[in-house]
Amino acid sequence: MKLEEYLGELYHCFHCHLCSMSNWHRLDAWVPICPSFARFCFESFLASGRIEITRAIIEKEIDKPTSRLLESIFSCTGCGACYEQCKGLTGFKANHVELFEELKAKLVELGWGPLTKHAEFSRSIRENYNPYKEPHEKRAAWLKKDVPKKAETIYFVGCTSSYRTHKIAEATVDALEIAGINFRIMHPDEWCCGSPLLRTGQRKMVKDLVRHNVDAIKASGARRVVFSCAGCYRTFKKDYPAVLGQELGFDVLHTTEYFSQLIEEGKLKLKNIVSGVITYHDPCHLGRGVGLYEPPRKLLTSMVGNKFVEMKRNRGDAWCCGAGSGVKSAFPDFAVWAALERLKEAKAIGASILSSSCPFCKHNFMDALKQAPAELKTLKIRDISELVAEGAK
Amino acid sequence: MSYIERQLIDIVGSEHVSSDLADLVPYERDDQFALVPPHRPDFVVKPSTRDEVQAIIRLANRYRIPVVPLAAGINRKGLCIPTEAGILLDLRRMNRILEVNEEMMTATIEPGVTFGQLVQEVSKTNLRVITPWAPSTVSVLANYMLRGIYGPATRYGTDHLITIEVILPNGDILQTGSAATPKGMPYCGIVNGPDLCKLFQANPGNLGVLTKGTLRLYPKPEVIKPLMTSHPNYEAMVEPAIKMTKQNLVAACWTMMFSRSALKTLTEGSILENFVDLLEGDFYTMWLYVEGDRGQAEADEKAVRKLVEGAGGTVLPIPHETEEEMIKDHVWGRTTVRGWKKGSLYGCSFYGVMKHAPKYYEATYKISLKYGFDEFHYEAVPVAPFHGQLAYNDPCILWDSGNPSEVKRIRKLHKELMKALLDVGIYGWFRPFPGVVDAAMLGKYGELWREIKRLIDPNNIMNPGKPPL
Repeated sequence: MKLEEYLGELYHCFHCHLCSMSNWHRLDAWVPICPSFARFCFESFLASGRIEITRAIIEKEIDKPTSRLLESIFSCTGCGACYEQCKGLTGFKANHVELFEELKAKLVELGWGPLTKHAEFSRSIRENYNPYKEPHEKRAAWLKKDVPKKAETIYFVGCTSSYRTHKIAEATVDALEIAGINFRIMHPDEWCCGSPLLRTGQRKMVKDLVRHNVDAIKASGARRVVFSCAGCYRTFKKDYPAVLGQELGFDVLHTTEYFSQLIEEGKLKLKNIVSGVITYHDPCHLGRGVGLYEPPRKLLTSMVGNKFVEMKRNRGDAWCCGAGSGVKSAFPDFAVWAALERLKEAKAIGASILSSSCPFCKHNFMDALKQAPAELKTLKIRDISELVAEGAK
Repeated sequence: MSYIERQLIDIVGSEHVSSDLADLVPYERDDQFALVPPHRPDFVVKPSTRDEVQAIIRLANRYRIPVVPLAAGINRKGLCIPTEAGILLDLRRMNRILEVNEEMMTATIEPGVTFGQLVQEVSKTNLRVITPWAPSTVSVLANYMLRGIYGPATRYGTDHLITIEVILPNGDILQTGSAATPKGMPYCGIVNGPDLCKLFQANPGNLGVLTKGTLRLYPKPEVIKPLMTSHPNYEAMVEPAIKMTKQNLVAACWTMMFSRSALKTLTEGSILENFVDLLEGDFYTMWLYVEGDRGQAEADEKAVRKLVEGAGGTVLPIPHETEEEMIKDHVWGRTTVRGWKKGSLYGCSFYGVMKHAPKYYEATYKISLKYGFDEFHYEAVPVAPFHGQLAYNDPCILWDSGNPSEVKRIRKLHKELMKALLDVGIYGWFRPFPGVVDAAMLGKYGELWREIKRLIDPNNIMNPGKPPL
């Protein structure tokens, strides 16, 4: 849907600000849910303000960009918390995540964007097929063992685990091996999934990335692709069919779904390797993005039983880690602030481990931990893949 | 950067002032843009202390800059749309709960405190906050200052504020009630003269900026039980509603009518949607709340059922989920925004006489249909104290504010509907909404109201363009 087509709907937001708070009926607590509004406190950093800005841009009331305008729009982490609160309750029927992605694309189309940092990772994707300015040939440098060249199952590693959070990739490989799964990785044919570009309005190159990845998977004869990255998974599951205008022709599964299946089939058996309380952070791409809430909890509960404790804000009411939609690169201080808020929440319920199922969440939490006060530093950040690999050994 | 902006930055810091279009546009319009034209402020300023507010007001008064105060960020019916640009004073950072006093049964708070925030804090005690049927994101003080309608607790009236602290347009600080005494105790509205807190109430932020208020808390009842009834027409609800109010059987009694099409929109996607298909025509219902200790609540419920059934009504079974949701909304409003499900909600709320509710309803429904709006809803609610059969009334229309032709029709309808209500005879409009309240129609009272405004705000810097001027 083009941005202009949203215009009538934009008049339906009446600024009730439900989008700013988590569902207090469900949680019995009054806690904020929009990271950018909680941090910057200006109406323009909340969904209702961004909706008014969108209207003003469509109606040409705003006809030139300012750095503040770009800050307001591009500091949206795309976490979807606003839509989660608003949907079905008010008369505003648009999906905020889709709307604001369309807005970002419009700003790029108008030449007002992208932000410098976002343009940098776009350039890197063009040159290296990853946003981290790392050489493509080193994408699988983390892999210390041989894996088959041909298999029905592909593990799509993703850029962040390939270059920044190797342990998640290594653990995923270990867990799949323990379960006896015949799988392969795609390198050298694995390119960035395109998520960083889609989330920052830079759509030009996306179709090429999508076609390349899908063609490479199809050419391999694989029937199933497994992701340890919530962002790659959501992009394949939701965006790829939309970009291509057709179904993918192969199954896509997040590792938390796949590992749960393997446990049910008796191929994976997990023992408890955790001594303290563990909690789980829902990655936005996985939770609100595709509605996958239960498999990670099932895995954790099967390992630690009642030592798994929820944070106040969980599932659809989860607080975003603050890294998504290019925020980590363009607004690093804000991203770390949001992550610190989550670390505090985990600590407040007595957790010694904060788990998640997204390498980008882990990456941001680790950065926050470096800047955290002493009382938070004892918190361990673990991806579920790592826990599963250890528990299955 | 202008001189004024530099001065504002000196007062609150650069991160709390903006004149950027991106920051101003979100404040220029609310959902009543059809009736109150959009207008942008020149600056958004976000103070966090009384001293900062005082310095801003002194600056504004010196340079004759309009100031529009906005408490927790939610605008209603154009009250905080700047008529003449100027400073939009966003008070959200003043969100401290200064005291919850169980002994005095009061809370003292700043204007940015929301109902959600206060309810959570007060829930630690045996007391309760009287909450409106509005999302819990709204400001407690702004709502109490404007006199809300307290959904399931109208038994407690509309006046929950005791004393306030106001920065007057010249920068002076006024304490009302006993807060004005040397000891500065804020727990009593009575001092040695008139209750000045009431002078500032029901004014649209045009006599000063509220920086603190002390409000009444109430004992938490052991039981709150919602009941839902159905009736053959509007008239059939009015007599039992009057009786149960006079006998003090209910904490609240909402007589309501939903046109079939309005109900269809409101229940879309819920378990009640199929029920609407079974309706032959419009739906007349009362939402009632009994509360108290268990024995009292049971006795009241029994008496209420007898009155309803005696008047030909039926007490409907309420699914447990719905009952839970109603009670949640009693203390913690969230689902109250469903009225906007069509895209916008037109309302023209007013105080009137309960026995005339059928007349108000018939007159406004007819006009709604005349302009092609069949998604109509009416509510009339007895309000304490019930002398004069005081009742809050609201004819509501679910409409699509994204449709320019409906915008035009709503504008025409609005004028005709107000005239029809004045012809039937009402006590007064619910709040000092621009485009509704006309002080010129109020004779000497209107003149004096304007004089008071001129006396307190001779430079007319506070929210100019709003009633009574």
